[in-house]
Amino acid sequence: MPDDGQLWRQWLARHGPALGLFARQWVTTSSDAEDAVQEGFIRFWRARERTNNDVGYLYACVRTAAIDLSRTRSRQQEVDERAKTPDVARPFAEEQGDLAHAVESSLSQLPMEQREVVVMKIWGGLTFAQIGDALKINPNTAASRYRYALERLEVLLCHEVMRD
Amino acid sequence: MTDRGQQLEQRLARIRPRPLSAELHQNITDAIGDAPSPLADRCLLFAIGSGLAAACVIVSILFLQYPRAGGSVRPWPVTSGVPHFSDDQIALAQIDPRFP
Repeated sequence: MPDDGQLWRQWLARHGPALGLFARQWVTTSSDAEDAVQEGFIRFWRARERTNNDVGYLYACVRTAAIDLSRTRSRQQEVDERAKTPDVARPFAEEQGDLAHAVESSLSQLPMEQREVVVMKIWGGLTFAQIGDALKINPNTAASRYRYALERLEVLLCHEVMRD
Repeated sequence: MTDRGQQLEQRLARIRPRPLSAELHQNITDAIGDAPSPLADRCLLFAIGSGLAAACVIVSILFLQYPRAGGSVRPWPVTSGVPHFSDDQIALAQIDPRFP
């Protein structure tokens, strides 16, 4: 059985990239997304024994941290300053090219409640029950949001690809 | 879900999110890498709880024993039974039937 130090590394290796993408749905830069992941992951790790849905709770912690950070940023009016310097770090791995850019652009056009479900399901690999637990919604609601999101994504991606 | 939906799902899943930076790993290591594990926390809480329970038992035993020890010792000064200066005269007077 891995010790505690190895265990959190395994958790971060397994969920880290998806969590980064998840946090990026609320914040504008990759550094803010990493800050949210860091904050949420530490909060999760210290309290993980109190929950029976580890993965859902991890996403809930990162979500809360990202929302808090986005509110802080808008209060500090740093968004304008940061927007002046473009964030070169894209949410998807660079080598994946145009399709990744098209997905990023299409995702950003979805309503937030659909976006978060899509990221948790596709890149996080969570079940609808886990998603429902993390977002405090019924699993059936999570499933229907996901279905609507996929339908919309399909249309948006067609437009993006045709535009390119 | 439709076949098209599943195909799209699979295509999207093949796109990998950006890995987290080494700096983030370091920050988390600094924050929780050496922190005591929840198991250690539980052991500490168990030890503290056991100590408190033991202290409660000791205090309870002392409280239970104190009244017994105190009950055998009469408080001092004892006023009843101590003869007074005029007690003998009152006793003699009480023998006299004319005394009310």
